[in-house]
Amino acid sequence: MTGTKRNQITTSPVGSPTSGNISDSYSSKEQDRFLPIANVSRIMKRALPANAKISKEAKETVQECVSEFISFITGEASDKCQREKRKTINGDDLLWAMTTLGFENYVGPLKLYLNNYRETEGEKSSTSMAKQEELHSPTHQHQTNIDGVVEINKLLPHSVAAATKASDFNNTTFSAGGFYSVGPHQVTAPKSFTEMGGLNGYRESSIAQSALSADQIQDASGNRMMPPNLRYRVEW
Amino acid sequence: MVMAEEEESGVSIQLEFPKGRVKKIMALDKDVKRVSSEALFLVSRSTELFLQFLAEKSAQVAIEKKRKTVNLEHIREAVKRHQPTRDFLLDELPPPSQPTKPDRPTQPAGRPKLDPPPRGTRRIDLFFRKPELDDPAQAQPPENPAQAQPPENPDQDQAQSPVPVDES
Repeated sequence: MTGTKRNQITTSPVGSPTSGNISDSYSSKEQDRFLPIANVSRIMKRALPANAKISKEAKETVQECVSEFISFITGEASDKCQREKRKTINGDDLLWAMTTLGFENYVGPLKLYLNNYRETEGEKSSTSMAKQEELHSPTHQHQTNIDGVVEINKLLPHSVAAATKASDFNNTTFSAGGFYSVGPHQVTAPKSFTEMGGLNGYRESSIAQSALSADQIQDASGNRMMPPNLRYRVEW
Repeated sequence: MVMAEEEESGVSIQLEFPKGRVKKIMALDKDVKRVSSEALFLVSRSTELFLQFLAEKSAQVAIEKKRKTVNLEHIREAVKRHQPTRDFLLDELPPPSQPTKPDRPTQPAGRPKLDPPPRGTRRIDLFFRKPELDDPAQAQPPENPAQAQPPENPDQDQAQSPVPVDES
């Protein structure tokens, strides 16, 4: 670590005279190693009295000092991360590094800045929560559709029951004439049952059977027809 | 004055330095692989505090020596007076050249190759002052570098481009 920093330091003095003598010799790579000198100058002037001035040489030297400060703090924080087997440097690592390196005075103000920063992040989190609520609405609608499907399924058993009852009625007929006359009613009953509903359909079926009984009475030619009629009454 | 500035800075979340540049300087260390957005924010802020501190101390030194312009010697003296800063900066500053007698024309001490000190004559002063007037205009263009947000920072941080200010 120290060796690496010294190598970097060695490069800096070599570059400094060149940049000082000829400003055109600034290369993009050289420039990337420092913070913009305009920003550095602005903050320096803010901290100085109004009538104070700063020489160009001083600005460039401070520019290098500031970059060195960043490398110094970052290196210490990075060492701590490696000791703890972590790959990402976080805020606490830097606060610890500053305390260790003698810049504990900075920790107080920095924590205030960090709280403001996290509040901004918190606002972003609340925005994402609102988005999640919007996503929840379609889910609710989907549940409604499922309920609709369930309601449709409930109707099926009634249809099956109606068909079964019709079959039973058909089986009880044992005379040829009766069978022929029952045909049309058998077709009508299920339709009315489906249209009106379970209970209403059942009542209409009873009425139809009563009418059928009346027809049989009219066709009766003697006592032979009476016993079957009685049987119908007993069954229902 | 320091308190006022801190309160003013506390209100705004905007950073003074471009994040991309700060990140590049941090990445000069090969061991640094990932940096959280909070860490990047703290480094930028601490750098501002350090810069303010260094400027104020240098100004004090300049005032003690009854100078209106802060120069290299004042910065060196300010660095010497703060032990933590001295530990990591003093060896890296340009070598001194007769710090007790900066105005007298004498032979340079130390390593003249790296930083030949200016000799005290008016002609030399005039020669160096002219480039200072021209440099601000030339230095302004590269102050708006393009900042690429790496995937390591999923949080969208507001990119701030510095506004060029006339220094004259």
